[in-house]
Amino acid sequence: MMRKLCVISALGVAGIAATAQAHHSFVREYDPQNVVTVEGTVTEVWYQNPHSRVYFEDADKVLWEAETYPRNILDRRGWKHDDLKPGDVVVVTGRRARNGSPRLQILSIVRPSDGWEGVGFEADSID
Amino acid sequence: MRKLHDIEGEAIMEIVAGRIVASMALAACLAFTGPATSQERVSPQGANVPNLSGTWMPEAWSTDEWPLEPPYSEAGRAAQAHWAAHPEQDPSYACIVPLGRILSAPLPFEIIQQPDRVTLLYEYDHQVRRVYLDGRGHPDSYPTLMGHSIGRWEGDTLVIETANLEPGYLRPQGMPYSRETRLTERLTLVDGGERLRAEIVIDDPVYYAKTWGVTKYYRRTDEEIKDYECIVREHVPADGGSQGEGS
Repeated sequence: MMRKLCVISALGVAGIAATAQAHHSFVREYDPQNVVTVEGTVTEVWYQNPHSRVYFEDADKVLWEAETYPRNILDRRGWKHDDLKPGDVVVVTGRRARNGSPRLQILSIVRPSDGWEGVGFEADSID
Repeated sequence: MRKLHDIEGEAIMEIVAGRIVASMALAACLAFTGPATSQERVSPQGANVPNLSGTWMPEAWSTDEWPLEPPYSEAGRAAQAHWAAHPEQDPSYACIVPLGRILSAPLPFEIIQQPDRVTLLYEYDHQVRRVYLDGRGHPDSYPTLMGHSIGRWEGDTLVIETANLEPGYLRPQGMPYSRETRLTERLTLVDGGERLRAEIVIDDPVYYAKTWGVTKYYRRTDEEIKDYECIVREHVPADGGSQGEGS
């Protein structure tokens, strides 16, 4: 039922990232040129500082870890503490970890069942 | 006045002890005369000195106002290269946040102005800075994350000078500063007191070839400063996993 949706190229951010890459710790960890979209079922929500995380399992039973802003910032930008729960099906687009592990820096996260949208990093973010 | 002073001192002690929300409310009640227009905001130093008290939200969402290529010295460029090669050493992942990182983060802070001191209460990592206005100098002491700050009024501008800083960094992607850094911040109310301008100058003879800086703006806000509980934990997969909001 659930499936990995697609792997898309990140033409939009590649140019910006190229200039920032040399001095960017977050970019050292996540590859702006390897943006993927994955669908899965949420297993855990870590709504916390310094980084919030969503763990979710895809159709192949791969457990993904997706990182986004601290909860103080999420709360101000509209992602409330109880918005997302284990069992929710989400579609996450993010920059994939350079080391190949199933980890993402969230660019967008949506819950198709009701159209809820979370908060991820801007496409051109270098922080 | 003496009595008020003592109670405010207590409030700040409580903040240090971690009871930040209750303390903020108490301090806010004691420090200000309630909601006021800019004309009504009288500073503790009298009508000739502006009152910077209030809560201030950075206008810039990202750290874009900070340059990517500051005038590094050779040593600074090497320190930056080391930083870039070792993202796992970012101390903010361990909830250790140096002053430079706080100054570039999109999180608010509160100013409490008293006759001989200005106290800066940051949301980020609960950090507190006491800026002494009584003419004292910097102590000959060990470095700390927030350093030691003294201040003076130059016309309408509060000038804060900070030394004794532990080596730190200014942006998530690095931009290090050394133990020798002297930081100068010039805080000025603009736009009828609804915005705060901060001119920040970094004087670090070790990592930079010359002094440099940024100008950033904050807007006055009625938003509460939030608690900032910072949590370091590793994910334990499957049955050993934890769940919830990390409290």
